Amino acid sequence: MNTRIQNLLNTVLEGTHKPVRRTVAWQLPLAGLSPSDRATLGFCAMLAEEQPAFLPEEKIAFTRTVSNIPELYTQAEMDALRETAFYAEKGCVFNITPNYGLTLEVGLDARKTEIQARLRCAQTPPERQFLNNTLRGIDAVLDLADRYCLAAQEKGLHEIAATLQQVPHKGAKTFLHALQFLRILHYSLWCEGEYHNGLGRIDIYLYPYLKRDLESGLLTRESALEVLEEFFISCNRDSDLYIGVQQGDNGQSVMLGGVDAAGNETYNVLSELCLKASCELKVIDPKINLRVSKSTPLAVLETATELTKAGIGFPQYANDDVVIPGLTQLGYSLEDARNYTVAACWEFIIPGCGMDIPNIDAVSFPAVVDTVMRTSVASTFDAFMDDVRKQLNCTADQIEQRLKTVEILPGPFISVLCDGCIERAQDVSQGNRYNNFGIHGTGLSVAADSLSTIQKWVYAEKKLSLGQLVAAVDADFTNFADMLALFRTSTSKMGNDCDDVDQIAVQLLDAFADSWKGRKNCRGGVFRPGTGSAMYYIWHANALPATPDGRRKGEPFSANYAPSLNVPIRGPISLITSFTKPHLMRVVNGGPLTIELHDSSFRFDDGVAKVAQLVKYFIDRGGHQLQINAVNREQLREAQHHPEKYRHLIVRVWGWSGYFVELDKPYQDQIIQRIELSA
Amino acid sequence: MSHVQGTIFDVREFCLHDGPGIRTTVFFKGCPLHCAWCHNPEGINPEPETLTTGRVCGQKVDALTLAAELRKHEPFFRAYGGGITFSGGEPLYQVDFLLACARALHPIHLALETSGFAPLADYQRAISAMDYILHDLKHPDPEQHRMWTGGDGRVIFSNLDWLKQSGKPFCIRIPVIPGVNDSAAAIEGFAALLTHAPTLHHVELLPYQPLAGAKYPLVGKRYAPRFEKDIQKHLDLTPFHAQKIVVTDYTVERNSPLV
Repeated sequence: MNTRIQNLLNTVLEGTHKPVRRTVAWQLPLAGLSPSDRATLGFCAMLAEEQPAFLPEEKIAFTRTVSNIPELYTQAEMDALRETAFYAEKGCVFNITPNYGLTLEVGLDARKTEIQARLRCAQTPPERQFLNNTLRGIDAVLDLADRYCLAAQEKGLHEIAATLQQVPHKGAKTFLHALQFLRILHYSLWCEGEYHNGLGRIDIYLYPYLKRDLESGLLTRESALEVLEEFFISCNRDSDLYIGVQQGDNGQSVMLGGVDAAGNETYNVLSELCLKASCELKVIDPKINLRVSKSTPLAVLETATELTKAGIGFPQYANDDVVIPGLTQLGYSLEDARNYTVAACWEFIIPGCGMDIPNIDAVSFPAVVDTVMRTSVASTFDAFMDDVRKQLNCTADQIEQRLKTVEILPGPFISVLCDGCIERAQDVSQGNRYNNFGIHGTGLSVAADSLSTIQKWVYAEKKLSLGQLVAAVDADFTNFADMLALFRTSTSKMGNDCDDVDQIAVQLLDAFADSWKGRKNCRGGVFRPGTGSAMYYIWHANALPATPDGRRKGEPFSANYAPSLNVPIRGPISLITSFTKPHLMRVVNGGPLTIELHDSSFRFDDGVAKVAQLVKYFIDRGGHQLQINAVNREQLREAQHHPEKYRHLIVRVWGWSGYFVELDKPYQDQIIQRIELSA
Repeated sequence: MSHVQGTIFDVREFCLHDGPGIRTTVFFKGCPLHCAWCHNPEGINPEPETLTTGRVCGQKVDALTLAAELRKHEPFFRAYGGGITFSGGEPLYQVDFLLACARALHPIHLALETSGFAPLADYQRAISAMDYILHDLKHPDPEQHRMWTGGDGRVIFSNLDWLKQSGKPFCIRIPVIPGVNDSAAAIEGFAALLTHAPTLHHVELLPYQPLAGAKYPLVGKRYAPRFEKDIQKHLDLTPFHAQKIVVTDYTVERNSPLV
């Protein structure tokens, strides 16, 4: 990293650019406007309020100067809308990755021409309204870019001015143009109110520009890395203004490597530069994902492990061997499946043509077990598992019922960047090629461990009745200390390669997949079960009393696809063996196995090569998604006590990394409790 | 022979520093030495014991049962490299158990981490059953050795002489203890012990563990080393290099900002 990049990084880390921001007291004439007009009025007003701002030494401009985007609906209006339909989260388009590539190539002027042509043959008022709104949005973006260009000229920032004379009006000619253009588009999405805006497969759609520049000699690998690093830093300029459950949960994901639509491997020099840039910068955005398969060379896994060693929780691996067939089984075409990326965290989505809502709801496995434990009259464990299957179906029925009418608020500008919207003259919020709903599954290991207790003590040993077990969990094991100790210290816990409990987990995930199979959602899509938890793992755990695995009330579940907290695990080989037994192709809504390795694992000479072998083991065994953290528990405890000393300490939370000291205490505690497999 | 029992106190997977490849390490309980800097004091007593926290440390286990459990990872070792390492405590303290385990685990790659403090016959039998040896050396002077570890260094050095001509690949690990074995004379002494060792792969210099005392209260002991535990000096490795011995000096890394 050279001095210029170091300075830009410091600016962002120290927040010295934040004084340019102001808050606007929005007074927009929104009443009576249609949702599409509201979105456009808000977007145009936001961009009109924005003022050109330049950080010292930067080459890639566009920094937020207005902290707050306009609220388009009053609380009462939103409440009224929610009476008529289910609106996920904030109601707008979120958690998708548009197709940036086309617009980067042709420029916004050409996109306008295309839209104007389409407008001339528009049939209906809604079509005309939509197309007009996309044009108004594009004009607002171009107007801000022109003001930036002028300001750059006035300030003598000739390089920025030159770039902005090309993009975003016309298509990018160079790698720098493409990055500046991408910055503008991505920045604009946040201004329209969309969030968890993914960046997708940048090593594919930006590669032609880099290749051309490297071949012409305009860039060397070093200078290319420098501009790429500047772009990465730009993703961190405004991220504290973005919407998320916690700081850092902003969905700025990139996906590297993997096969292209035709099935050819794509890992290239840009993929490598991205890994390197993230490794050098050690910042939380963008979030690095890497697609791998059985044929991924070990050298690539070793390069990626160098990034893991940097301790920021990247990369997250996705296995093409499992994900692509899993997606085709759900109805994605092979070409689209091969083009997958991740949404905000780890949900596999297709850039450009996907309007999936991959985190629309979640099933709590421990809650299912809890209900069955209270209601079942099964006389064998197999019959008990049948009741679990019925209860999973019943839970799916309830969720499906809740999601009978699902609406999304329009996003005319993001629609410009989505495949087919202009041709159809229809906002992406009305749907795109894929309109599937993702259903998370939380607390799998707590449920499997609980079922193992039930199998052993209620059915095999017959030492307990279900009623006695219910009494014990309802009393939070108070006065049942022996039982608690027995359950807690049982070695039959998921993650230790014990076949009895692991097979229960296999059955549970199969039953989960079965419970959603064949159901159609209200937007013409299907349901996609997954192994993720998102923020549900804390909510679901809080909603439940103690559980038969010996988890007491108030103790959290593990995040995503991981062993229960405080369960002693033999090590990562057993862990991976256990967690690759289920049929993961059937749960490709995603959700990674998370492994915490002590940071000393990477320190010895060949530690990186050995950790890379572990990743290979996971891939070879048919794991779907993996994420390894280099952690040091002592350091995290120290950071809780002395946050001022650890302002830049980054940790993985669920599908994203954040600054540890900025997380709420329960999240901090949960991270510390996660099993740390030291070497 | 099939029902040989032994006492172990831990099995750890994915040990990256206990031999070639990725290792699963079995910790044997019981050690005839008591090094002043020992950081696994729960490995000294040969019997299972109740720690002050109430947890029982150590379990008696049948060699075949243990081997069956360890064998689960055989496909992993075959595909990705690695094997099983016997550590402790001192594995040679339970040599029959060690040999029973080794027989049951063949042909998985086996490594032994030992102080070398054992009767020659036991030492020879054990080494012969292994694929790789991680051999500790604590002090080149026999008397100093006795003073700091409770064991006569001569036993170890004559065993080592046998190892050097045995054809068995091995590495040497030296825990560098400030003020005990980090003098120029000590380094020369170590190097002198390692002449004519064609199968010596390399020498590792391990830093003193600042947290060595952490587990003493668990076994009801007090950690009171008689050495300056905070000073790690720079070592002159010329005597090793003069003999063309490859040295990995982890004491340097301890001082780096990485740690």
